[in-house]
Amino acid sequence: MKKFELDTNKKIISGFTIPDNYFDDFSERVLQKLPKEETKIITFYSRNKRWLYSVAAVLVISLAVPIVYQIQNKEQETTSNEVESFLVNHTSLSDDDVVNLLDQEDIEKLKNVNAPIEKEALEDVLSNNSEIEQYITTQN
Amino acid sequence: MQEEKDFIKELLDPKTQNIAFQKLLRTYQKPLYNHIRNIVLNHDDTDDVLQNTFIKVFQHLKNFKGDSKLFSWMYRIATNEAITFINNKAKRNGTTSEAMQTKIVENLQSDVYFDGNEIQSKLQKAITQLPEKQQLVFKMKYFEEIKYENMSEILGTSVGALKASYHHAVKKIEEFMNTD
Repeated sequence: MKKFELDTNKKIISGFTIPDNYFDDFSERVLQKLPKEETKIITFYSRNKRWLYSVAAVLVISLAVPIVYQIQNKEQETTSNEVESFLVNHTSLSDDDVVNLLDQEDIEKLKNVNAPIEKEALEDVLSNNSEIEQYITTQN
Repeated sequence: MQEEKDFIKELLDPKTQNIAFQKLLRTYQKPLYNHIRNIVLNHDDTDDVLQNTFIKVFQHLKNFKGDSKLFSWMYRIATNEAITFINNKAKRNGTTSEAMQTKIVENLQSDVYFDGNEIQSKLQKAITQLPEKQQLVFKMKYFEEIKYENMSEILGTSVGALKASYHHAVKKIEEFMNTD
């Protein structure tokens, strides 16, 4: 048998075959599989995010203002009503009751009220209020 | 070279991209098919790898620096894809890529997309005996007739080393072919 030599032997082709019409739709199939250009989807929401936030903030504030105002008014009204009814219904307040309502600081302040009026302060008041003299005279 | 630069621009420009990519497909689909088929051997696998190759080419076009030719860059991607494919397939089947390739070659006669005579089958068997790099060099030189200079760019190996690889491969193949 003749010795096989690649260079002298007739060229051997690989022997692999390709299905008929394989390349007819190959490029089409690849094109379909290509990742699509990522188009940036800007939604109404994201585009107007800042604008929407501003609107929301204005809405919240404008709704909150009358509510807060009402709450505060209500509290004030309630307080004065309560005080009034308390005073009406508790006419028999004894000194002890009053004392019990006061704390140490209030009592100290009251003590100061009874303290003798200092001379300088008295003179000051008298010199600045000329009507006082007339008032004293009329009283006499 | 300028022509290639213009073509790459067309491939990157969204307006001309579609037409340019179709041109790229038409130009390279057959040579790349043959290149991949010689590595993975089976038609269906070649179809998968070829599609993935073009998808990768498309995805990485913007990173293509133009240091090498578009042709060799695409062949490099195809080679890597094909080798990765057979390695992964072998791993999935719990075997080595060499053992898997030997098995495919032994059963080539039953492959409907192999129309080879006895000598063609024997040559395929002879190739599987070679180390991976020699197989690649032999197939690219003998079947695909790629010039050493281009092969050097594709495989990143010097022309001298490629010639030596081919020479070794031929010797081993002739030895195998001369045994019964």
